[in-house]
Amino acid sequence: MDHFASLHWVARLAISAGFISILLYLISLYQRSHKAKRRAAEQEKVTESRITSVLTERKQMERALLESNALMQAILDGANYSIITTRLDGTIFTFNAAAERMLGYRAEEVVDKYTPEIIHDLQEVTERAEGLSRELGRPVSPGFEVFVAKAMLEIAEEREWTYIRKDGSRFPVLLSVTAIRTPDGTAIGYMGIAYDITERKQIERMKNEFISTVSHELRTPLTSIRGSLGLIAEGFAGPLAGETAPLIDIALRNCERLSRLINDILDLDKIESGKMNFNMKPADVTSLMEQAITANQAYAEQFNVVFVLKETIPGAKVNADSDRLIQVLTNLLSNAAKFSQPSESVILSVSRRNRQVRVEIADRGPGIPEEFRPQLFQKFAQGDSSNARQKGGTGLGLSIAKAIVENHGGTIGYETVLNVGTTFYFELPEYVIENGAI
Amino acid sequence: MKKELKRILLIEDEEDIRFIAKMALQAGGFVLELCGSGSEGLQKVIPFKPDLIILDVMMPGMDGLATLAALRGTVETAHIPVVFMTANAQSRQIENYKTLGVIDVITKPFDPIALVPALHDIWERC
Repeated sequence: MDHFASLHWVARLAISAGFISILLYLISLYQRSHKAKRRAAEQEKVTESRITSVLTERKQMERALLESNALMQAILDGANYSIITTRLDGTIFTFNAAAERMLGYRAEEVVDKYTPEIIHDLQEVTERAEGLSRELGRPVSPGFEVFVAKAMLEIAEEREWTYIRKDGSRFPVLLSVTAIRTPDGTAIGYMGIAYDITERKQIERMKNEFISTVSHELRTPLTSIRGSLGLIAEGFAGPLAGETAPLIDIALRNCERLSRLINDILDLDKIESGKMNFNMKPADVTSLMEQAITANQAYAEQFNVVFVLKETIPGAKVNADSDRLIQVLTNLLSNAAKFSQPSESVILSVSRRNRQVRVEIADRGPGIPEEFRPQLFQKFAQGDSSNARQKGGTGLGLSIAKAIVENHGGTIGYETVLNVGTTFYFELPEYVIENGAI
Repeated sequence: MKKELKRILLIEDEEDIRFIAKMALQAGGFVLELCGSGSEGLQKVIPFKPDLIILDVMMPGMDGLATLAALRGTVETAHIPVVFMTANAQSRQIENYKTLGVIDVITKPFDPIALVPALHDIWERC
């Protein structure tokens, strides 16, 4: 029995061992599946958090976008500027509140329509197309291209235009056009920002009227003074006794000077405010020089000075306002005559330098003192005040000359050596005929 | 041979300038009629029958431009050459005035001594 009992125990042990191993197996299986499950769960968690973060990011971006849109909308709505964006073909894409107010159209009436035809004066557009074609050296068609030709070249341009309201009334605006570009630089449309300059124009007009009145009011008494002195000097009021003649002469000379001063101030004001119209035409430089010499010969004779055109380029032309260029030459010639030694000549020459025409006027005067050189082209600048009084200048001549030359796209300067002389020069782009021939 | 310039009507609101112009022009041997305003000029022009009219541009009331228009609009005076005299002339403006049918422009201040030869010169050219 004992034996049987021991067998029984072995069997039981074996069974239980089997059971344990099964149990262990089961446990291991469970563990494995659990691990997988946990891993899966973990993975799920990671994905979930990733999705959550992507979602949050997107939400933030959306919010930022909404905010920037709201900001943009606020700018567009609140701006007192008409802001009109167009597609590349010139059809209107957006039309802000100020544009609606200014032009009397509602945005939905004009969106998708072609801008130049709605709010612009076609005559003005055609004229500008001609001007731009000349300027850019290629044909610019009289339509939308007129407004964007410069923006396409990334040139900032602000220009006066006439806008036409829905009711047909017109008003002046200052318009600037910019290309709208993607980060890689591709243009996808244009934005025109314009503001109404009616008021500014009115102020300008008032200022012009004021200046015109002032010049009239100054010149009228001067006419009487100048006239009376002129008649006295010529003996109309009887013979001049004692020192009367030289005193009358002083008064007369100073009348002339005051009159020149008024003219110069008005000129300078016109140039500086951009009100001086330059009537640009191709002009023969040699002929201009000759005209200037003739006009100033009598003045030079007072100083016993002669003008000599030593060297020129026959046929060389510059695109210029002849009257204004003669004004520059007159100024430089009279300066040269004033500062020359008596019985000297002032040498004029025309030369060509890198497609520029260079005009030189050389005197054999005392030269320009070093301390005076920095303010030479400034207003009311004169080399030496006592000397200047004697010379009768206004102190505005060179600043006017500089302004005129620069308005012609040129440069002005001088070279001076003390006790030897001074050469003033200006250079202007040579006028070149379309086909490239000079 | 062109008729000699003899009779001049001067329309100028400034008395002093009228006086100076009178002195200078009388010395030139002209027969003168002086007027202080555009409307006075329009009254005197027909009886006086001037060869030439010197007309100030900026005048109170009827200015030079209005006076010129009235002269041009009247049969008896439409043909009479007019010279503007102005204290507000720049070369561009002078060109504008000339397109209005004014034969020349004398700018103020003017040299009274040069006035007579200048008028003869203008007369020869017109």
